[in-house]
Amino acid sequence: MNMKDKLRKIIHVDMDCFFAAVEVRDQSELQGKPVAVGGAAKRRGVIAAANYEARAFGVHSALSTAVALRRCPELILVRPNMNKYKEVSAEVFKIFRKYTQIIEAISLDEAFLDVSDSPLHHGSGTLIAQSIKKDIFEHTGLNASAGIAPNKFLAKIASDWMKPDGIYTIPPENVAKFVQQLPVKKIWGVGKETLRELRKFALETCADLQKISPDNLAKVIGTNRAEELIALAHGIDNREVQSNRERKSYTRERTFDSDLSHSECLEALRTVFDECKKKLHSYLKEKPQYKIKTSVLKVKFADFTSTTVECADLNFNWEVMEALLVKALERNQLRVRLLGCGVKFTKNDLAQPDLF
Amino acid sequence: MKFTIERDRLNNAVKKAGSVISSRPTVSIMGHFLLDVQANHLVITATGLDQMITLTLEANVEQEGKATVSAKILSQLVQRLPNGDVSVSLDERGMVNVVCARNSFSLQSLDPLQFPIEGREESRREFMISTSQLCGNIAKCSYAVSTEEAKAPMTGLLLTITDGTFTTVATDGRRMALVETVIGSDSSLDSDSILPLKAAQELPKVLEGSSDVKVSLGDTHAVFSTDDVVFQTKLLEGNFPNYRMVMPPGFENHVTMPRDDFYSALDRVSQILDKNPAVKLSLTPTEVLISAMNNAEVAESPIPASYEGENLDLSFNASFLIDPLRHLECNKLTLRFNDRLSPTGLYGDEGFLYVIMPLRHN
Repeated sequence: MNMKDKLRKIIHVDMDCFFAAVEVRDQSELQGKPVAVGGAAKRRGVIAAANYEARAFGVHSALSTAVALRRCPELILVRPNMNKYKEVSAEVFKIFRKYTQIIEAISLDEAFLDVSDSPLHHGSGTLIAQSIKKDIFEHTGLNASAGIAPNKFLAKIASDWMKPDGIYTIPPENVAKFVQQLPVKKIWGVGKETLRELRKFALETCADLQKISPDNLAKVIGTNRAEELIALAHGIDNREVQSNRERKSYTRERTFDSDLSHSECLEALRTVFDECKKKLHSYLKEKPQYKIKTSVLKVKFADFTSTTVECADLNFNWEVMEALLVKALERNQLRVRLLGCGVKFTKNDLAQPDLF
Repeated sequence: MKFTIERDRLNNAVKKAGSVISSRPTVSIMGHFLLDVQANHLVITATGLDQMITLTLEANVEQEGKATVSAKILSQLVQRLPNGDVSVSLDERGMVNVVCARNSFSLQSLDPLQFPIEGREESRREFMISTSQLCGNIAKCSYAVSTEEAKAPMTGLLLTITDGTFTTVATDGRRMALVETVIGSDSSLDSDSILPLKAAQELPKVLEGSSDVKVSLGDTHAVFSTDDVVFQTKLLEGNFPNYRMVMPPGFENHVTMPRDDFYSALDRVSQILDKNPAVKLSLTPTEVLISAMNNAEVAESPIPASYEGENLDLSFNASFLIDPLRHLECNKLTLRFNDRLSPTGLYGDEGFLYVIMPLRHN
């Protein structure tokens, strides 16, 4: 475990069967009955959310409504009212902001909160989470589950651990023990395909993953993915809670297996650049309010010193990156341990033109 | 000099007169009121750097004469006096004695001959207008006045008379508000004058209680007079932008909305805004959806509307839209526009026009 993990306190809050819970709250006659929010079976609709009464029949989100009704003929189907859910969600997020400004919204009913620096409740993540749960219930009448852990990966698993209306803490000292028993399918991003591959090698738990050599795992699922998975299997996740309020930059970086000579850097950078450019492109599609201002390049040398160079560039061009690399390498003769590249943003704000 | 006057009337008058006095007068006499008692009148004069006011009040005069008295002290004193008659007199020591019930005060007078009184310039244009109309017109424009000192002429309101129509205009270069009032067919000289914002803001106070006001516009000064108040102010120099130029010759589209709904929806939605001031108006035939976005936060509020064009989004600075709404009295508002990037007109009260540039992506 690295030092950074020990210092962080991340809370993952997940509203319990959110849409369905809102409907049951607002229509008391639905109380205690199997309820799902979703589109009509006739129109090939799917279930967006189901309460626990419905889940008992095997009804879950993404299930087609037709199947859901076969599994549970008494199922009460409610048409989704997104505006209402958005309103309730806004109330919930307003509560989050009482506790921290570092909030990463995953969806209307789910968010990560970084409370590492919060002075509330003497800095106890567990007490803060309890207080948030209580606040949410008092303001909206809805239950939420919360997970507290030193990183996002574990916080999300923790919130799911005692659902519904649950709260679970994985303190830093328990991380190693906790991940031992954790099934690999609980790892974020391990879907059916990956799971099938892992099972071929009898990799069922994180403990199994910890034992396998990265090279062998890389043969199964690729190098990058293997590194990531093994880190997660050790309970390591350095991703920050990306406050959705303002993102100032977008970067990708890569630490090399062995340090690179200066002449090897260009080719290595190209790989990082291409990956970054691809991801940046899809990121900007979702967030049109961001506009690229400068290209940045980070180089970490063998002695762990690092240097950053940047240049105004609205398009994240490879030619600019090449020039930046030359400039950065001039600063140190040592071999290169890490290369990172990316962009800094300006807000693509609306401007007020003059009348005359 | 000696006179007696009811405390309430004196209080009212010194409040009005005090509004022109500079908070830090350069010479001490500029911080004084001139009290001039003649026949059966008390005339109070106060002057600031750019303004002068004269109030005439009926008083029980025992002895004519002149004196000055600290504006600040007299105002604060009279405000605190009990109801009843106040007697004011100048004694041989040069002290102004203020007596009310059993309270008495002695205040320093300066030499009344030293009191600076600006001469009246001959006005080029005079007209009568109802006080409520004048103050209403000013209120419907003042918020659009520029606060940038560098844009000197735009830090005031243009008062212009053309063909018997009196027009008040204010702009900060990004939006413009104007109100037209017909004041009669008397077609003597047309004129353009720029009234400083400070004077415009004081007018409602100093004209309070009057029903009509005579407006006299000269080259360098404007004078607003009623039966008992004469308020004179310097005008701003320079050229006011040609506001007629920004008014498009015609608008192809329009959308009409209830004023109250529009105002409250804008007010609600703009609560999530901080640095980014933009609100979006999404026009459909029966509804305008007013929305705002601030990073991850979203606010939406639909209002009924009638609109005949194609569905369209217009973005505006929220406060630029809210400002005029605070002062309009109409039930319905109409936005007229040609497209989403060119000047948009907001129409409501009779004679009122507000032109605003929509926001655009840079």
